[in-house]
Amino acid sequence: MAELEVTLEQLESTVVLHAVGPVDSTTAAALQEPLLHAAESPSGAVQLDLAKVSYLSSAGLRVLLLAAKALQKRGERLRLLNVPQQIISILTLAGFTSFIDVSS
Amino acid sequence: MRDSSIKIEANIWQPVPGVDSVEIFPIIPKTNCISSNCFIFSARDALVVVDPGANREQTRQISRVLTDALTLARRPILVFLTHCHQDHSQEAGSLELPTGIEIKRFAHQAGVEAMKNRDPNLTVAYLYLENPAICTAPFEGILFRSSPESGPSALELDDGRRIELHTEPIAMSDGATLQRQWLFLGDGNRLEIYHTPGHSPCSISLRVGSLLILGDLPFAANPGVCGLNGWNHADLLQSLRKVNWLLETPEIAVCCLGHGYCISAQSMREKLRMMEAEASNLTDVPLLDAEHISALKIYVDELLEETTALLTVFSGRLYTISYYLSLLEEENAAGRILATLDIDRIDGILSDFRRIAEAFNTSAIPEWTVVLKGVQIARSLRQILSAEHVQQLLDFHLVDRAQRRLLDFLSVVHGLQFLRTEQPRAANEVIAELLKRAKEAQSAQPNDLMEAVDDDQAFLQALTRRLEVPSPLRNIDFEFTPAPQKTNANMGGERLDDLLTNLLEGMAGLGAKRISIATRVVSGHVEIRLSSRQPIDPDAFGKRRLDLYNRTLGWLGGSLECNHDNGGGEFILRLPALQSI
Repeated sequence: MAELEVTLEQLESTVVLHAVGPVDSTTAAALQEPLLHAAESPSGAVQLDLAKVSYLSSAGLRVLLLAAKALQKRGERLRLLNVPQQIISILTLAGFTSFIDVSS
Repeated sequence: MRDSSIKIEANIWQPVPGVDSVEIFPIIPKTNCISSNCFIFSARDALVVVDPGANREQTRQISRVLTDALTLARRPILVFLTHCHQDHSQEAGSLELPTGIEIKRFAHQAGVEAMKNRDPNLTVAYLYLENPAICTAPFEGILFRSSPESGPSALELDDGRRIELHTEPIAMSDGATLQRQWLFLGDGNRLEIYHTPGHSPCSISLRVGSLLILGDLPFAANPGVCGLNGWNHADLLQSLRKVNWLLETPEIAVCCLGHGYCISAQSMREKLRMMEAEASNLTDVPLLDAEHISALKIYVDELLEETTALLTVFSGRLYTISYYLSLLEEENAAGRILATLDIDRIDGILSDFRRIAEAFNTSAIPEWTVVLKGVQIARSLRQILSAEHVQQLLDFHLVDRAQRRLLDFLSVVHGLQFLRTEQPRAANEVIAELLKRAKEAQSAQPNDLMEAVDDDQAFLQALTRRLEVPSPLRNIDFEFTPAPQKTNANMGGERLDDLLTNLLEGMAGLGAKRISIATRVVSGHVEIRLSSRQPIDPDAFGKRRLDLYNRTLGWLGGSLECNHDNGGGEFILRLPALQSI
């Protein structure tokens, strides 16, 4: 069964999380914990690399929303990197691109 | 006297309602199509096993229960099959009993012959992988013989006793006849058997006291079940009427099913009424053979992708509104918005199903199981999305579109021609209305906030409307070139609108800013061309979704073409043109 693996890369002033696998109701918690931990830190930009995320369900959207809200409190925006086109489409249609930065 | 409070519990001995000296031990596994429920009766003169099932572990449990019961009194074992389908019959010859215990098996003549001939069709063994072994144990008790004997047929037991099978049809008040046989279980108690074909020609129902076992008759109109080999529409309707007539008598209190929990006779009557209405439409159900099931399995995969895409976007839009309400420190309103739709439940259902579908590709799950799971999912989602507050939540047509997709799937599994039930419309009209709706969507009233300022609730509602995610088509620069001729297309207006909206929104999601739409009538077809400068990668759009659209159009004699050459992207829909609508 496909699982989600999340690794952290600490750059000078940015935390980059690399996710590998599907993000759905079963796996979303594995992303939520490290992503929120980074977003709720007092400082530093947070980026999430989705290059190897094959599928993002609404449970995944919820995690992104929580991280965006946490970052907004300190005036930052969540940045998604290497987002597959299919996931960009979902984020666009759902209106997420108005509060999350997305690059393919 | 009927007592609707009677409950039948799994895995314990309990008195059979309506009789003094018969007990029942129900084995009710988690509902599945691999193995059925099993009901064991303990009476003075015999232990009766109804539907051993098709699961080795269940067989061991049945053997243990019987062995324990035999320590109290040695009696013969009588095994009955409600019908010969593999999930009910496979283990009928595998019970392990103490030495010297005699076993006699009973089934309808058609079922006995099917098993004897190792018929993979009537036993529906073809639905399961790896050619499962069909039960070939001897069946001494042949029920409802086509050439009945003059007196009661009797089975001789080793100890010299006889089991007499009496035939005594019941004349119903409407002139019909319910075929009935019965035998004594001791202490004056009878096991009655009724011929109730429809699900299968060999389907029977069994009654002890106030308890009626119906096998799979109550599921016989379900999508993915009707149309199985041996299914018969006329027989089913007759059997439903006959069982309903039986349930009208006050003697029957509880109904036990082939799968799932026992229910009261009253609940079963309500179910049968709904089922009769549903079944009355099933006049032209195609045979649900292996080829058809394989096609349905592919449809299930496509449906999963389409529904997931629509509902994920819909959930995301709710999250977006909640985000902006939170920014405005309206946390309660944000929470209420999210509570209107059980997003987590929907996501859980879709994620579970995705995993089952993925597991199918790597393990030995029969295709039929995936199709039935698809039916279950479609029904669950339709129920969630039908809630009134969901319907009123947002006017993005997303929920309606998802609902129609799910309904179409259920109809196809049912063998119904859903696509011809909707009024066809001119493509030009459908497109013009779609574009008008896209531009008008979410146009807030200019004074709505001012007018609601004195009412907290109204203000929040107006605010929420303003925060709704604009239609992705709203900012697209459309250029529509309608054909001058009539563009009456052989597709229901609503479905055509859904399909075009899905394609256009998908193009918008992939970054299209300007889309040209052109219609023309050529070679007896209405052609609709959607073009943008943005390339369309079918994988990014969702290849299975495109397959689904192509399949749907194909059923109507049309097609969908996706081109992504020349630096741009283009969809070309073709539908047979109609002279008039």
